[in-house]
Amino acid sequence: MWGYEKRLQFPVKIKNPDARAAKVIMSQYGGPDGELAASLRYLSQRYAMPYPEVAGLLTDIGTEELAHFEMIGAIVYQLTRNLSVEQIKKEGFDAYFVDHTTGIYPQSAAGVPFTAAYIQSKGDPITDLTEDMGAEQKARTTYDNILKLVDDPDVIEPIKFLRQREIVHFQRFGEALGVVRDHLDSKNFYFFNPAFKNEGC
Amino acid sequence: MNGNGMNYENLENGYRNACGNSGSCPCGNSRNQGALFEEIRALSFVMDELRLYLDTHPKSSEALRFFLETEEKRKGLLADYTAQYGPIDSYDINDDGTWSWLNEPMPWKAEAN
Repeated sequence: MWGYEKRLQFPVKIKNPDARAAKVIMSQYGGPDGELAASLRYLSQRYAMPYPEVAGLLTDIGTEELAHFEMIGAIVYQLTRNLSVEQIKKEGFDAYFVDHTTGIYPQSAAGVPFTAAYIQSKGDPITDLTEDMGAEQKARTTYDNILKLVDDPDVIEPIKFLRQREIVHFQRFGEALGVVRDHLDSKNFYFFNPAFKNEGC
Repeated sequence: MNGNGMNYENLENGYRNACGNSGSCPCGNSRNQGALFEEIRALSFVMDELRLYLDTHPKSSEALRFFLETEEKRKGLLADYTAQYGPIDSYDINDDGTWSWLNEPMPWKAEAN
């Protein structure tokens, strides 16, 4: 069960529309290293996680990612308010506009629709947590790249907040991998899947 | 800063500096809607951060105490806000005789932030 709170985790208050910025930031809505992929990845992986402290962490980070998905939606929404057809054409938003007008659709900056192929849920805690650490770094790099492409402080502040969250999540997943390692016994020193019966590897 | 790199005192202020809202101390004076909302948002963030920290440091009594103190503060402010301005949490609908859950602005609008 999830509840809803009628508030963004961090404020998004953008004065000036900017379709060009919206086009690249939307990659964090439905792109390969975006917030939707992050949320679905962690919330799907938790079922195979045998250790409650790590299953809890996957639930909590997966939940926070949904709040980030909402923040990115808000940024793209606010950046594309009241655009003129001239701006849409001049700022390279016409290809998106023809398919979605200014509705919010999960796709990458290059226009590839969201796909579950971006994520893995492997049923192996070590494999999954290692993917999760990589995923947080990939999202952090994407935010670094966005910060090189935008110059409006109204956009930069929430993007910087989201970038910081990737760093904290990377740290926590690293600690969670340590928790999993501590649960392995001396017969499992090559870190075989502790969630599935190991038979002669 | 403790040995685990968690600086509790600066969590809330760090958030406030980043979001550009100075907020106000929960001292009981009346606050306007925006300041109260930002205070709730800041305290909620402190709890979001501590929740993840406690997931991987469940034995940290210091973090647990700080989480509970923050929860207590947040609970009071949320009740005040809901009574005066309508619900933030979908389970905390106020009883002003209207279905205030639908009150504008929706959270993704600039004017809600």
